[in-house]
Amino acid sequence: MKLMIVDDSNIIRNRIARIASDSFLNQKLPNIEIVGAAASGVEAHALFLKTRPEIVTMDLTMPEMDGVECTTLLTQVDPQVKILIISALSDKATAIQALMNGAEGFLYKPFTDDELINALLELVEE
Amino acid sequence: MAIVNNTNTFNKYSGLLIAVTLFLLFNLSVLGLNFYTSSTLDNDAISINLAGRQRMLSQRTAKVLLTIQVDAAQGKFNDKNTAELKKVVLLFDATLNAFKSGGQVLGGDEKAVTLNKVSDSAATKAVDAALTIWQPYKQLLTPVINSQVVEESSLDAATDYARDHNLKLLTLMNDLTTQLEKNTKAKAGNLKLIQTIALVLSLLLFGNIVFNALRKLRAADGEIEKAQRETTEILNTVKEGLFLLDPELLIGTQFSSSMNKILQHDISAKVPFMPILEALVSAEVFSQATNYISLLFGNKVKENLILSLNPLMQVRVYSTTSNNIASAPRYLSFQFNRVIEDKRVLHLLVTVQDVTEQVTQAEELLKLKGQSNINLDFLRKLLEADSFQLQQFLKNTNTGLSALNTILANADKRASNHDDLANQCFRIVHSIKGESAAMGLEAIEAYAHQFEEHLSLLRKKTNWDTQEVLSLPVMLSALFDQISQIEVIVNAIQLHLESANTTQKQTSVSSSISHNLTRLAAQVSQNQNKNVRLNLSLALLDQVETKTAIQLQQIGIQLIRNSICHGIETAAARAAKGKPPHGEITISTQMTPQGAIHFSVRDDGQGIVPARIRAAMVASGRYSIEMVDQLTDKEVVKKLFEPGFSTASTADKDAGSGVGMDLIQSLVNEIGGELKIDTKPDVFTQFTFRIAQHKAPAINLESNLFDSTVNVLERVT
Repeated sequence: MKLMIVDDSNIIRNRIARIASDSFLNQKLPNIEIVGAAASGVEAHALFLKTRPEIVTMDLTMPEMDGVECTTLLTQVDPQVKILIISALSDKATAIQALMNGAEGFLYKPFTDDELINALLELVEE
Repeated sequence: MAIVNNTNTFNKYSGLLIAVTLFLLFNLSVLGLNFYTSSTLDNDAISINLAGRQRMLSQRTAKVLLTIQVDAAQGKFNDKNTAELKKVVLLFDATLNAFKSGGQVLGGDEKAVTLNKVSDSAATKAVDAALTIWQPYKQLLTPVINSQVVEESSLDAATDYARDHNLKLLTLMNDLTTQLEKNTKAKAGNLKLIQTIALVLSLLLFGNIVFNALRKLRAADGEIEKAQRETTEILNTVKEGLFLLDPELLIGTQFSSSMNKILQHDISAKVPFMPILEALVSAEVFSQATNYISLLFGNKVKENLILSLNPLMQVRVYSTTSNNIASAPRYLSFQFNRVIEDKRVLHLLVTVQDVTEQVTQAEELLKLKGQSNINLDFLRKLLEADSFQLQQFLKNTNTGLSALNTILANADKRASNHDDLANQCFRIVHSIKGESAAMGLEAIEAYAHQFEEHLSLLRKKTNWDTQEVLSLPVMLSALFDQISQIEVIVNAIQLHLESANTTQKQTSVSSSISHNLTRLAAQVSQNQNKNVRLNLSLALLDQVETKTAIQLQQIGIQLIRNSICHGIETAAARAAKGKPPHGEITISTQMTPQGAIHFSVRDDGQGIVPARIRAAMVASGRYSIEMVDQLTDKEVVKKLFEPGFSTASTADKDAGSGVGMDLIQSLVNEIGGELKIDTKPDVFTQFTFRIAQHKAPAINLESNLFDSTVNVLERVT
């Protein structure tokens, strides 16, 4: 499955990428191919059109275009895309808004490796 | 976790379905057998019919043959007879052969019918015997039926044969008919038997199916009833509120009985849930919850991946029934679980819990954490404090608290005189407050302040209720606890110091009092936001009894508070009067040439102004304007020493409770001596206490109220 990581922090982006690729080695997750990482909603939208990922991890607070707006755009392009919101718990209302706009799950920061793996597993499970 | 309903109808009713299928198959095969038997019976009927016809044909053959012979004897020839004979003979022959080996013959209605060859031995025997007679007969008849002109000899031969064998042939055909009838009858009997058995079996099978179905139905009903009973029991017993929410957001037909209590709302089946929720929670939480619930009813989001977003996981709820704002806050927890059938969210199972206790406990834990910080600070203060002073403080406080205890223990007997009781308590507590503040023991100071506030509330009331009096010992015991804690710690420190054999320099009484008063002045001036400089010259205190020195310290404490709070003006006010921005308090001890010791406290504040005291007296509501006007200035100043009197409009931790002067009065009484007040408006106030030594307190009242300086010498009784 193709994964795109959206987060304005490069530390978080690298962490998600590392966990996703490591867990593939451990065969915990189905074949996940990281097709791109974006630091803002605008970047994510452009990258999405180009790479067409099936899974997206989405930060909420980002410059230019926030996660809620970006989620709306991506699900308009592909209603089947599975979006996992990864954000701090402080703003539940915004996270719920993102879910209303088409995201499928929520994971709060900070998260452990296992929490992310389980969330991704839950996300891809039919 | 989602709850998934699996309803496999086939498994549940497989037994019944198999029984019904067997029943149908059985009935179908019986029907088939019936059909088969009746079709053979049809064939048998044809055979019987045709066998009967053979009897007729044999007689007809003989009759027509004889008719032809009679006609021939008379020389007549009727070709109709010949034709009939031919027809009859051919028909008989064909039918007899068909009986022998099967085949088609003309039936009664001139249509071809299939005749089965006879199978049983008796019939076969009859047919064979008939054929034996018939074959020669047929030979003899052939010339008769085939020629226009019948030879007499042939005719006679045939007629003779007919005469000889006709009866035999009839008998054989009759036997055949009888035999066939017998066979058919037997077959029909069998058929009847089979039908009867089949009917009985079918009925049995049907009965079995009905019985089993009923039994199953009853068992199922029983199970349903039992399940319902169990469900009801569970719903009646569980502490949690449990109910199902349907996609229209209506509450399901069954819900736990604790729901009403938890939601503080009368719940009934099929009522909308959202208005109930709306009344309980804040508008913001409600709108989040609405979205959250709609997310769960949708199929898109993963239930397990949004649990942490549940805005109702722990939510403060507001009372819908009473307007009592003061009631303790309540917290509820709503958990939602999808109930899924055929990959569709059918319901949400909602679990509601009252988590007030957990939340309160968590809050208390947090508070305790804060308290432990305070305690650390407290410990640091104790370590910093001078050990001699600390011992004195503990001793004084214990004495005070014991006195308080005695007063409260006798409170009932003295119920008629509550004012007195409150004032006595107030003095003691106020003194503890002052000393603890001087020691920097803020925790004790806070306790004492709280106690004092409670007492001042009581003092304002004319009638005390028992509860209010009873709360006093509780507060006293809290103070006792604090003090005994300190004692434990102080003793431990003392032991530690002694065992370490430290040669700590014993500080003098005067220096430790100086230290305390300096700290107090710094603290109070900071609280009051005033600039104050404290000048101390207390060396002579080392020459008086320690007890007296500590009492003088208490007087100093009260007077420093009064000076900073009431005497010294704000920096702005001082500037307006042309005074330096910082106020000055001077506490000094002096020895008179006669060897008496004077303890004086002087500030450069606004002085004592009788007019202000008069105004405060009127404002207190205890005195009318007329009463106040009748008093002399001296008398007015003396009011300062009355319990509960204060010129400050609001009481805070430092001053304004109106007890300080009263306390000073008591201390002066205890020590013995004279107290003099000198004051000049906007310039200074000075309290001078002449300590009486080795002699009874003298009665001395001087005054010079009409000077710009007011001298009030309090008489000590």
